[in-house]
Amino acid sequence: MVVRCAVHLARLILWLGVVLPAAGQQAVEISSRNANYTIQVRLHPETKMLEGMEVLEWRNTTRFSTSELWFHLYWNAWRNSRSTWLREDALRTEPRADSLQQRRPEDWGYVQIEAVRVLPGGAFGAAELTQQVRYESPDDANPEDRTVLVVPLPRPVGPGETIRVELVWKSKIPRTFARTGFRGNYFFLAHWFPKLGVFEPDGTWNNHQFHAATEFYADYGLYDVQITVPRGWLVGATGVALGVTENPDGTATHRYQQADVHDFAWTTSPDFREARRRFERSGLPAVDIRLLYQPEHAGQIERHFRAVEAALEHYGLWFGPYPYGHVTVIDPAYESGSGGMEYPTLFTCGTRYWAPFGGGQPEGVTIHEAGHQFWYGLVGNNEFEHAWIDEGLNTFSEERVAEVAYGQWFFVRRFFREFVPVWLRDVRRSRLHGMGLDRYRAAARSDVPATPTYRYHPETASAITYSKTALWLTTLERMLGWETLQRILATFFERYRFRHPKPEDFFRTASEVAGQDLTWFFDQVFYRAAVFDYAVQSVASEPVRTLGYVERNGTLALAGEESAREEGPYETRVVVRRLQDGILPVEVLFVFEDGERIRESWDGRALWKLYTFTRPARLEYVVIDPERKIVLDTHYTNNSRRLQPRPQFVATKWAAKWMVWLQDFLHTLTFLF
Amino acid sequence: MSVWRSFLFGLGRVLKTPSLLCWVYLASLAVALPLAMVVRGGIAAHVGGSLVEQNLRTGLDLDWYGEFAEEASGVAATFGPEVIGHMALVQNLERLLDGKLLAAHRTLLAAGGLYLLFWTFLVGGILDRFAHPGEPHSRARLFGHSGEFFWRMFRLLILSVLFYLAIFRFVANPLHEFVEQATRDVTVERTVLLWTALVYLLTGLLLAGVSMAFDYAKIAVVVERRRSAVLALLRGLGFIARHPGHTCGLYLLLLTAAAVVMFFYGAIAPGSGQSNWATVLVAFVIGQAYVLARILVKLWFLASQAILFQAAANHPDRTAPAAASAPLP
Ligand SMILES: [Zn+2]
Repeated sequence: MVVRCAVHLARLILWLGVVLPAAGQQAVEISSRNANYTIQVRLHPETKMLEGMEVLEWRNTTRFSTSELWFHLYWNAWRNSRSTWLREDALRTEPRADSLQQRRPEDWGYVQIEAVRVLPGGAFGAAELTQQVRYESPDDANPEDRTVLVVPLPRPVGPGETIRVELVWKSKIPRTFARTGFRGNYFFLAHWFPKLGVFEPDGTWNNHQFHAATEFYADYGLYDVQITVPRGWLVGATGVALGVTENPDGTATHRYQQADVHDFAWTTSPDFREARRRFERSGLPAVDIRLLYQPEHAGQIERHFRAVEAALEHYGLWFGPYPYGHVTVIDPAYESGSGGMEYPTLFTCGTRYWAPFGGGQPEGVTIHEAGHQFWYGLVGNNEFEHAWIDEGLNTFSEERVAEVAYGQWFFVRRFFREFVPVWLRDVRRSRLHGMGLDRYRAAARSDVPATPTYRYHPETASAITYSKTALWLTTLERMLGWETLQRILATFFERYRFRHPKPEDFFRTASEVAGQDLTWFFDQVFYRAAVFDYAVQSVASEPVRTLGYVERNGTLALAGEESAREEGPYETRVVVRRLQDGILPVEVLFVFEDGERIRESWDGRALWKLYTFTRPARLEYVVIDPERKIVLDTHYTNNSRRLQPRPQFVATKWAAKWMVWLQDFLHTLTFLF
Repeated sequence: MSVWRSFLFGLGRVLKTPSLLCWVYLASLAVALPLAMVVRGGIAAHVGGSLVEQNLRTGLDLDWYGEFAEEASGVAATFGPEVIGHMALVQNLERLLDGKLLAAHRTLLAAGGLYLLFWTFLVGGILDRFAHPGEPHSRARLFGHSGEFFWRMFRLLILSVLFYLAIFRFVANPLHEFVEQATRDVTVERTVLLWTALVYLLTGLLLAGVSMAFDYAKIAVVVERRRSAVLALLRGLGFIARHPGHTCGLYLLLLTAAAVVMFFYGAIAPGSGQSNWATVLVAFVIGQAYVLARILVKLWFLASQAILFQAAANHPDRTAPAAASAPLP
């Protein structure tokens, strides 16, 4: 406890030294701030168009020069069905809720660059580059993809040099794809402006095309954005509002600013309602929470705040403080498709008109997206290549926070076109269930986690990115203890805040903090698509018995008298098996009928292993991995075995319930006649 | 004959003939029990000697269920948390109102088909009993009439299923689709919910109308000894058209009775935690009592509607003392 408090105190002092927390003020520079944007954007709600102008100020922080700037034009992913995003999306067997065929002309989206020019300043003179730009498809050479724009420069940007570039563009807002777009007069605008890629320390541009299963990657910087929308519409955006100017044409311009972030998203609608709350916990910086909610969810305001506060509190205490002093929470419009997504200092959650408390939503999604302020916002890994770092760490953290703050959720299913929730209070969802153990089991071999995420199969990517990572983190928690894992995560957070960590950075930190080389573990769970399944193959426990000849008084004699005696002793033989290729050391617990317990460690390497004991009592049962540390074990039912199986009771119990269900079905059928 | 009297006398006739209830219930058991044994075998085989058995005593272990769902085959694969308590009712109701009754797992569908055949067979004999309560009855007469009417009833069944499918093909699904398209820019869930609820209501009304028409068609087959299924259906429709207030009022009362049974069971339906044989038995008995009550209500529909039909049509066969009075306006 003392140690923990001291750590918090140290963190607080550190934090006070670098950050000015009050809303409206900017944090003291702590990130690289080498990609700074000044943007003016105007929304035309009737035509669903955006008109934008941005000035990017970019400083080359590497040792290399570059004679190009690479930009993401994300919205071109929905220019037509030939884009890489839509081609990948089509690989999903589960059809999109809105089929592309049903899309109307106004439902597609695009971004068109109208002008690109270098602004004079520093070593650069003014230069018009509009005609020189070109499109690239670095990932799949798809000539019809227009999500990567390359701007050749009149002269290279050398190490440490800064260049200012102005881009003018127009874009069509799509009916929502990938959490961005419109529904009615609700607009959610994410990855909406021409956005610079990352010029890596090795002198190459990391600027992937937009892919169906991956998200984003950018450098940190200062965003100063002026958003013009119809007067009276509420705006939510990354950063803090610096003021509103009412324009004579019936519009209003909202100015938002935020430093030390790597993206900027905003939303607007005339229907939003606003609620505010100040989060205050000793040992953590205060955070002003602004909730923009749908009027029909007024009854759920408190639930949203409570979930955000749970995330800020636990993530803050476990990993490190949230330094920005404010966060904007968006309750998205019904069926807008923009729910459940994170952006710096702003995120969307998502609820339903009927959402029973205890069923997990909107609390789960709110904790998750609030948690992304830490894993994604502050620790800015490359989501194209290593999405597991933010999504996996965050799914693990979310489930842990939810369990600590709320306990286990109960089972809910929505009926009647998903409008009506029905729940079973006495059926609880475990943390493993929440992390997606079932999804992982179904997709365990779909991809090697070390593969760049954008190359994962789009259908199963999340099972690896989110579920598998969260599950093996749980294994680490159970192997090393929560205290150790928490220190690993806190150290990783502290070291890579405002930076772009790579997988090896996490693995190195984990080994270092744990005080043991964990390479063998990551080899199994990350560098291979190994599947884990340990099982009890056979169990026998019989009176010790010898047949044939034994040595007696120096001569061989038939072993008649040594024959088995029912009162013991007993010989117990248990064969355990490794059914798959995944190898992790595991414990095996043997419990005998007289209460004796024997715990054995097995390195788990051999395909099978025989355990033999001679004991006064029979074996009662055996369990492999009794604490369920290897949560990646896809089949835990086969991990234990009683000497006397007794499944009849539960089988009868559940079959009896099933029968009533069937009889109800049969009876419902007679409604037909 | 007033609606209330038909309603109450109907219940009286059902209660006076418990053997009919027994026969239908036996049909339900005959279909469900063997399949339940298969499911029991599937669960027992999957659990085996595993300690997960302890978790399944105290509740439903969803982690186990995930494994089971992945490995289960055949009818055992239909086992899931939905079978618990009130959720079972809601799921089946949703199937009915979404037109998915015939889209169930093929074993369930086969079981359902078999049960419908049983029912179609019995319904002739049952209606004969309800229509002629004063006449001597026997098992031979019940099955004799069941056999006599079976093919006519079967043709009606086919017609009814076609109507059911048509309601969804031509009305309910297009309307849901229409609502979805018409509300694609609506940002308020409550609004969409309201429109969707209206479509469900309309679907329910259509289903009720069809069900009512076929009930009177069946009654006409028995009471008026009609041979043609189509003419019987027209007779049913004509009867409703001539007595809309009485037929609909009675139907609404009967529907309320069904709803009361379902709500009551939904409220007391046992959850997942029976951990000894006594509680399992109690849960099973409650479940079977519910099934019996549902069957009773189904028979009640037929009995009351037969009384109304006979009274209105002033059939010479009617023998219930009260039915002699109050001809319909
Ligand atoms: Zn996430």
